[in-house]
Amino acid sequence: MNTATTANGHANPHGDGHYSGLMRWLTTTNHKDIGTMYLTFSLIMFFVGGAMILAVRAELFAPGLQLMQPEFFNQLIGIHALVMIFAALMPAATGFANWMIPLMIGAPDMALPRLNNWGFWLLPPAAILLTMPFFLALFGIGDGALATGWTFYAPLSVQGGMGVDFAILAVHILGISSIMGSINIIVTIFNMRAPGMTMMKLPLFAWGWLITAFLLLATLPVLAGAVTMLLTDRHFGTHFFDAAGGGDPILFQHLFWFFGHPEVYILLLPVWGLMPHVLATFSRKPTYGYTAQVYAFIAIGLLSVVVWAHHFFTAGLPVPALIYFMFSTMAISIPLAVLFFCWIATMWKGSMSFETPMLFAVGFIVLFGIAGLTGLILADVAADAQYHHSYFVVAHFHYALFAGGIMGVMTGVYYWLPKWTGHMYSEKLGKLHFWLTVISFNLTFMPQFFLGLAGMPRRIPDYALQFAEFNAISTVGAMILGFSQLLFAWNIWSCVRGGPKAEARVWEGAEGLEWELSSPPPHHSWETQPVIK
Amino acid sequence: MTDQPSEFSPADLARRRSAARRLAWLLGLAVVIIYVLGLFIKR
Amino acid sequence: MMRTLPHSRTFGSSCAAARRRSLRCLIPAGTALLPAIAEAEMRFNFPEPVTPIARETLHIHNEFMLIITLLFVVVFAIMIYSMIKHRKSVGHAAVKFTGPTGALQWFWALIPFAILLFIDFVLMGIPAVQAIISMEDTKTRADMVLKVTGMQWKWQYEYPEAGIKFISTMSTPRAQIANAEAKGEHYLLEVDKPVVLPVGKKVRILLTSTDVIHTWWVPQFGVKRDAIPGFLRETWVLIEKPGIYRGQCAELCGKDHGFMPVVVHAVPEPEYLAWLEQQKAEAVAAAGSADRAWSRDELVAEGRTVYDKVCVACHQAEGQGLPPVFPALAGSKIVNGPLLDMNGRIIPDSHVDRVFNGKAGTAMQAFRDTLSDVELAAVITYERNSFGNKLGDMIQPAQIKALRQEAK
Repeated sequence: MNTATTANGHANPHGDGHYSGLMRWLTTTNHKDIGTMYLTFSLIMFFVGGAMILAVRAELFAPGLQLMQPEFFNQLIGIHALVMIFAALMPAATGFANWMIPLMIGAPDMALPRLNNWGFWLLPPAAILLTMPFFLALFGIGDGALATGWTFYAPLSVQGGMGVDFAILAVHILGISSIMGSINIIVTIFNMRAPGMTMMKLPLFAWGWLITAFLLLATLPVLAGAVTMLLTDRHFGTHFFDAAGGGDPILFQHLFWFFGHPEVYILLLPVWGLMPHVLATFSRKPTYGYTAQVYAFIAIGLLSVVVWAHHFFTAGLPVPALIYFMFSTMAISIPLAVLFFCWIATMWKGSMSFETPMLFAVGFIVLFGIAGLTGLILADVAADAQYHHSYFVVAHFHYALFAGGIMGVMTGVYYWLPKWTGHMYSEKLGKLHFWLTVISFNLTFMPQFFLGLAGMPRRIPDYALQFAEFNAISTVGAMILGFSQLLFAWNIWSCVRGGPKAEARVWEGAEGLEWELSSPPPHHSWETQPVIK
Repeated sequence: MTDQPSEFSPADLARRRSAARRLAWLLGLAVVIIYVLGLFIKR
Repeated sequence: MMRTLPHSRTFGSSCAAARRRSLRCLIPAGTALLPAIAEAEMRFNFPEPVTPIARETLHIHNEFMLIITLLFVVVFAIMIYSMIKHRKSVGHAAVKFTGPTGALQWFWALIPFAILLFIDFVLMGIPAVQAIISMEDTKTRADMVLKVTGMQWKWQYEYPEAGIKFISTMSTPRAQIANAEAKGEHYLLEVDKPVVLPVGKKVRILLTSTDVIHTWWVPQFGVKRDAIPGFLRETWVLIEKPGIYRGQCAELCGKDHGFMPVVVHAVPEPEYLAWLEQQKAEAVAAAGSADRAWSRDELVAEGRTVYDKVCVACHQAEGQGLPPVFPALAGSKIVNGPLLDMNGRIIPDSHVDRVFNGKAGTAMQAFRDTLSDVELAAVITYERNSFGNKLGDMIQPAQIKALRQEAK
């Protein structure tokens, strides 16, 4: 983190920071510093979560147990998911928001800078809580981390060891952090826009984040409630999820997925907001269908909270519920198709060039298209009986969350990195990173679709012989995918350290307030209020 | 775009920030209410 | 992608042998992978369906895959065309438009959504609704009932009409899993006692669980349903073709989630009825044997089989357990405590109490209803006289029977 400090090269080094070194980062209330911290944290946790899953994939390279026992395997898959979702993807999106929203809407800073600082500094303790049981187990304390998968399904989680308590606590803290971040983003967008920046002139990235923030506020308390109930079931003799005491294990699934499904869009909406900026920039053409995209965001946000039960079609829901949840889920394809239509229409008849961010954007659209289309057939209750709990689902949501989420974040990083650091990254390394990522990603997850169809359940540490070939291919893909991300880290690192000077308007076709400021922007953005035409 | 630069006046900023604070408390309250209501859900 | 492969394909012994060799030395991926791919017939679709539901599911799946593949190709063909034609490097100048203008453009902009709506709610929606209704129709003209109970990490099958029940556990030796032995053809998908069902009969399957949520899944039946503790769920199968069908638990249920296979033998009805009679006779014999006095050696010998089937996953072969989650039985205070109180009743938190009633909030389940009198007596006696535990006492099946009645 300290290297990032020097490299940010603030135009006004005296700013509001009264400290230097570590204390500066602990106490900073500057939106850019906090954005940098979020992004750094996210990158570190991306490698932590990635290392976990590489161990899992190594175990799955061949049938039989080679490297680990099932207990440890179960811990790795669950913590991998929680780390990637809560500690890698969400902080990356929040980092983007912190850095870019004030620049984009012409605000001097976030509305509530101290809340912003607190929101970030809750994250490292939560990450430690989440992973600590692994290390405690090494010293013979407890039985390791959460081993229930990230879904915490009761009664398995009621039965689990103290890793579950650590994870419950960590999820509470991560939730509080996200809620504070969301509140800050909402009030910043509502109250801090420069004069003339009406809601319908708001950059789409800010719109995407606004919907995300509202979804977080609506659903995180439900997750917190569900895990609190789990905690009281575990330790205080309640029976929310215990049939013997009049409770219902399926209630947990309802509560969890009431959060869990919107969570998917929470992760994706910031990326969907970012895409039109990148596509317009590199197509040198204005965004197509701005209004349509805004309404599509709102529609997806609203639909996302009424479709949750499609995550447990096999749990035995009544027929009318099955039919309702199937059709409401399919309905999401309409606003999503609006987005695809607008993305492609933005590119249509443009004057395109394919720098790294554009490559990632196009890769995102194609691979996320696969996620969307397989999601459409997963919504079908009859076919879902076969797909559900199988590797088909694993492949589907990695197309959504790696290709959709992580590659979306990479698009944003390459797009804005010169703005943040004032230097250009290495285009050659960036392109190499893109191609390695796209090819190895497909090598990893395409075979998993076939594994699922052939009948391999997810979350198993060992498998029957007929699944061996696809698993071996998938593991090879995962190793390449994992290690090629080091290129990404190296490219960022060298860009922070130096490189060719970046212009204020980094990209030829870039439009928007953020490109009016120097690269990197001054310590206090927009001390002079911009006027929006 | 920055045709007529005008300063963010301290008074204007203070007004915006206090409006933001009020809204933030309101949203926080909504979150707490959802959380508490959640604990009473029965199926 | 649409290809349906014949299901009967299993790995030839040569292939399995090749894999065994590569396993032992873990040849680097690059070299091991290529011959493996060339040799194996990889399956790209569902296994062969053998029930009406599975056939319908496969049909729906194939149709949907066709639709989404078409959508994918059309949409991205347009995009790729644009990416080739509308590049800066070929001198294409950007046209500035931000939305549809004029009736014709609006028409073309709205057409894709009309098509998508049609696909969603008509092309995919109508067959899906029909399939749901037939999938959930468990009660009409059901010929028999099979009750499936999931428990960590085995399945119990009960034929309520015939009054028989038994536990089915994975029979793959642990040595194969640990790569100490060559893996068999049906590695991880084989059980000691498969469930037997008649072909051509509609079987209503009731599911529940004793501990956590499990999911009963046989891919060739197109049936997957959760087994939820404290609740009954149901589904149905009508197997059209005799054969051995294999599946697995599909919901993460703890340590040995990957090791609780489902194996169904589908046989013609006369064969099924004969099997049923034999099972009934065995059940009667077992019930009768509960009344006679057993010697300690007999109980210990019987107890070892029960232990190796039911208890070994957690408490391990030498009774050493997997502390701290799964306690050791060797030298355990509870196991080495008194058997029953002076009136012959169960002492709370004693060895017999644990085996009978389990321990709430842990993986230790109540075996009162899942094991027979003989099995309970045998396993308790075995545990008290093995792993270095030398209590020398025993409990008779008849005593278990009495304790059961007392509890009622």
